[in-house]
Amino acid sequence: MADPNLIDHCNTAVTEVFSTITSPAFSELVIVLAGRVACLRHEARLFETLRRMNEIRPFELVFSLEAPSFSLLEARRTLEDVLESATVIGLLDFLDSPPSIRIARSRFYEWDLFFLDFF
Amino acid sequence: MVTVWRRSKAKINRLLTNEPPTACAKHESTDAARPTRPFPSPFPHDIVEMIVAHLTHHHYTLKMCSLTCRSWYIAATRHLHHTFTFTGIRPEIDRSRLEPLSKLHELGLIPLVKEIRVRRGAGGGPWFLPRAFSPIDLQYFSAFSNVHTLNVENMQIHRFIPGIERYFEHFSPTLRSVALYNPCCTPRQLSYFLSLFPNLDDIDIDQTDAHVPNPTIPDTELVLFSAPKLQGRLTLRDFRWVEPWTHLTSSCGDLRFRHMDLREVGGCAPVLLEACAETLETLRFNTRDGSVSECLWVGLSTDLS
Repeated sequence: MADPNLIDHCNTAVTEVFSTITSPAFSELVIVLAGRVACLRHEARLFETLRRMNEIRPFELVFSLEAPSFSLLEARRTLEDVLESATVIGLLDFLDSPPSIRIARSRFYEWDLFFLDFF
Repeated sequence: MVTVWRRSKAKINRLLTNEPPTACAKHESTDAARPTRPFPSPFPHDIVEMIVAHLTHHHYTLKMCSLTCRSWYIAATRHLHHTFTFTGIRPEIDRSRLEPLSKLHELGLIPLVKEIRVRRGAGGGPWFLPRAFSPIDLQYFSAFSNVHTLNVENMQIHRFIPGIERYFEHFSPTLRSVALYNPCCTPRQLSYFLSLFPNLDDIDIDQTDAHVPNPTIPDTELVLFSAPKLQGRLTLRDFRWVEPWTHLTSSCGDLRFRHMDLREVGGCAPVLLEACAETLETLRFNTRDGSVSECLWVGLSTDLS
């Protein structure tokens, strides 16, 4: 999806949906990352979408990591690097406060279930 | 042995009351004949409650605590029986899976249960069906009067219709949360089932491996029982039906969820965001492998899904 017109259309469609939220209590958008975190390095258009959404309704941005317990630390480190790079080049300037990171061990990962059963 | 115990008890009593050692203490052989003060009273009940409250997730430790004495048993028992799980032990016999109900009833523990879980069981097939309830099982099942969470795997909602209220209506005053994993029903049957519970706040539906059967009765006959509150958290996984929400909205007015947690919901997100526009506080958006921005675009917009 590299066509700039299509990307613009997508951003418009998402912001239109997002603009229906009128709740004064709306305060938090959590993006749960269950896949590879490193792919966020190439996601400039994600930050553009988030910027547009934030213009409509300001929110606190939270990245929640859900991964097997043995890879959580590494995923966190990668995410911190990605967000730091994004901040340096100004992709997160639209936020009032820096995005926060939450960690949650996914209950759906088979390896974790295996270890839980085993021990 | 008895003498040693009495001597030790006397020493502990002296230490606790800060009494100086008496002449008798020097001649401990006479202690056995001397009446001792009673052992210090057990912990106050509120302290026991506090200790037990810290152990709510340690089932084994709770069990051990409940065996120490009556006051610890009383404090631990409501945590021990907070969650009751039905699971299959003999997959070939449906009725055996509801057998624990009679034991629970016999021990007077049914009112202590706050959460009911129904697991698929060893065979993996559905067993939680109307035919699994004998008249006496249904009588015991109807005695669950304090359940606030119902968590069912592979619930065959369509098999309970008509007459679903016979099995679940007794939960309506207390039930706050429903979690369904791969429910089998039509969209309207789902909203019909949810409307059984007027105090329902939280809904969690995961349809990762769901198979939708043909409806057993015409959906048009389903008139909702009540307007559930729906003021808590909505969690949807791989759930793409819009109709349950439009059905609930058209019959009960706007939804009022404050928190939404969505993954692969297709065209649901725009409908839900609009329905909860005035109350939403937190939106959790789950992504999978691939582009996060594309997940966000596809997940939040009907045009792109």
